[in-house]
Formats: sequence, structure tokens, C-alpha cells
Amino acid sequence: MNFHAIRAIYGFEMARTRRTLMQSIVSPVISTSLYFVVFGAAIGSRIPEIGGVSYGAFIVPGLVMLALLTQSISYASFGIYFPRFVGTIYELLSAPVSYVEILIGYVGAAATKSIVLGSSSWRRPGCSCPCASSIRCGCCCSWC
Amino acid sequence: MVRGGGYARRMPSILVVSHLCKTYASGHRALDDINLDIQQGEIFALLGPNGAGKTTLISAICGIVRATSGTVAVAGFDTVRDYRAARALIGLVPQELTNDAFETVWATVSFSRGLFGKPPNPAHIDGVLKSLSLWEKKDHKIMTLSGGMKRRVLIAKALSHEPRVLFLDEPSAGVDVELRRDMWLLVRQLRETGVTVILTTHYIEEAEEMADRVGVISKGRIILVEDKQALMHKLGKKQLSLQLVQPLAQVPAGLAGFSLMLSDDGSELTYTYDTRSELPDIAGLMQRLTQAGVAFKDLRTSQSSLEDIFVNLVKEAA
Repeated sequence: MNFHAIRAIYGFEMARTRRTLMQSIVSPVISTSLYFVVFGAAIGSRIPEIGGVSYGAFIVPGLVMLALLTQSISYASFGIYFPRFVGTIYELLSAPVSYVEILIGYVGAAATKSIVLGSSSWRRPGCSCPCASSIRCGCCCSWC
Repeated sequence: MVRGGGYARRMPSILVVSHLCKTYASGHRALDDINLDIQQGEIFALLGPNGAGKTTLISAICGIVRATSGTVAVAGFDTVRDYRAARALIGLVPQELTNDAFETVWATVSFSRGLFGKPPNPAHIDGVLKSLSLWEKKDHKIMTLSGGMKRRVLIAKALSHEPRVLFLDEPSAGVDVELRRDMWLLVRQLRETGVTVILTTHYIEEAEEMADRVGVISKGRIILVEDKQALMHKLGKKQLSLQLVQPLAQVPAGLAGFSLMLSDDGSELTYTYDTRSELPDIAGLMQRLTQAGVAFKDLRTSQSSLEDIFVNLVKEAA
């Protein structure tokens, strides 16, 4: 196993995330937060609780997972496809690395970024939400 | 400085290509039974016209293109079965300026080293960047660099993992004279450290300046592999041109035994002879000229360049 290569790919992808923090993390978090506002505040306020669970609390895990899965696929596919598009893939193809090692590097970095994104979108316990929704959403928690 | 193929021939083979073929799905046969044996520490120039298969051959050796049949071994390691060991020995500088635009020079060179399975070694990266005059630009983003600097970054990436075989695919494409000369110097320095350099080029002067051996490829086939000096000696032609005092209407009958050509205005007489043949009878020619009463005011000699030889070979192959 070429651990140095895996580390290089992982580090390269994470460095790209740090460089592009706005579009990599902040933008998807805001986007997910807007979903919370729309579904939680606008629709959720009109739907009664079922079995003690509010509509807002019901959709939060789904919306977080939606963001997490969408972005994780986007991160990994962009990371793999972009070198092919610009031509730098020659280096990956000519390096002493297997497909498995390449995948571990790219998918590992994408998974890490997605977890950071999911954590950022998830509500924080004990935080009071200033918006009118019955849940404490991610965008409001950024003010906590 | 060691020049010529004699040095290389004594060295063991570092790269052996056997019966390599590549046929694309369209049916185009890009490589046709390529056999090549590159000795350790030599500079090998691969010449060929556009579409001859130079880049395909390099790509097949480096693993970018999958060969249809045949084998490639680098230092005894098969590039398919032992691809890790084989590829770790190879550095590739591609023809196109393909760089990550937003990365810094330092980061991209370090990435290449890691990708080829080498642990971080900042001192080596420092050395490579300094040798390529990239040290001042190490924290610059690649997108801010000039074309020549980007070419240097590609070379630095290829050298980052201390390869034993370096492929330079048209290294002089789009670079200025100064950088080209710097690159020639670097290639010679690399050779002195034992690195084998294989370069493809359109610039015959580049091959003429640097190479120990020359290979000519055309339509996917290796037409010729020869020591550069031997090739120029074997196929080279020499010409002796005489500027006549009085123009001639025709070549005098007494000079019929020599291969002479008279210019249209009759003021220049050219004697063409082959360096392969026995020593040319220049003294005899001079004697006959005197006997025929042909006086000349100046003379010059010229020798066919590698470019002429290359053009002739490709024409013959076509």
C-alpha cells in the first residue's frame, strides 16, 4: 500500500477545501440552512406535531443527510474528474498507485469534508433559535 | 564531458521495449512492433514528425496508455506486473503545460513526490527548485507564472521523486532560447548523476546538441536507432563549393569523373561527396581544375545536419 500517495492525495484535497472554504463549506451550509427556514418555518409552522415530534424536528436529519450525501458525491467526483478535465491526471496515471489507493485518498477527503459540512449544518443542543420555526436550525445556530 | 554512444553502450539496459503495439478502438495503429533498448545514463532523442507515435510510445511506457501487445521493462521491472517498482523509477514531463492553476509551486512539487511513494523531503524539493531557478517563485500560485516557468514546474515535479529515467516530451515547445539552453544544461547535469534521459523533439538541433543516440519513428514504427555521431558519419553528405573567377557555361569534360554541379549562373561549382565512401579525392579535383584552367576565388565546405538526415529518412519511410 502506497501510504505516502494516499496522504498526498488526501492532503491535496483538504488543502483545496481550505483554499475554497466559501464554496466548499460555507455555501452548502447556507443552502441547507435556507431549506430549514423554508421547510421548518414556512411549512412546519402549519403542520401539527405527530406523536410528540414536530415537522421541523422530523425533517432536520433528512436535510442534513441530503446535504451531506450530495456534497460528498460532488466533492469526490469533482476531485477525480477535474484533473482529467485539465489534463493533470497524467500524473495519477503514471504514478505507482493502485485505483484503490486513489479512491481512498479522494473519497477519504470527500468524506472528511462532508462530515465537517454535516456537523456545521446540524443544530447545536441548547441553542435558542431566533427565527419563528419550531426547530433550532443550522443558520440560526451560527449566531449561538 | 562524455559525448557519443561509446559511453552509453558500456552501460546496462535501463529500459527495454519489446514488440510494443498500440491499436486504438478506431483501428488506428499508433505503435507497430516497437523494439527499443535504452542504456543507463544515456541521452536518447526520439525524433519523428507529428503523429508519428512519439507521445503514444512514452505514454505506453509510463502507463498512461494501455498497450495492445508487447512488454516494457524498466530496470528489469515489467510495467504491468511490477508497475509500482517500474513507475517509481520514471519521471515524466508532458508535452502540454498541464498544471494545477491554484496550487503553489512548492505544494504541487511536494504532492508529486508523495504521489510517487516518497516520504517528504523538503531539502530535496529545495534543491530541485533552486536548480530550476524556481526558488523565488515557490510560494506563488502556478497560474501567476509565465509559460517558461510553468515548464520548469513540470520538470521540478518530474524530478521531485528522484527518478532514474526521465522522459521529456518536447521540452522545448514554447520556451525561449535562454530557457532551452538552461534545460540542456540541466539535462547534462542529470546525466552526470546517472539519470537516463529520453526526449522527444521536433528541434533537430536539440537532438544534435544533446543526444548520445537518436531514434527515428514514423507512422508508429522505429525506422532507425543509431549513435548520433555514427548516424551523421554514416548518412551525412559533405559539399565543397567553389566560387569561380570566371563563370562557366558547362562543367569541363576533364572533370566528368567527379560529382559536380554547376549553379544556374555558372559562377559556383559544387562537389558533393559521401562521408561513408573512401577518402574523397579533393586533391585530384584541384589538380584537374588547374589542368582545365578553372580558377576559383573562394571555397567553403558544408555538412548535412541531423535535420537533413531526418527528413531524408522520413521521406524514404513514406
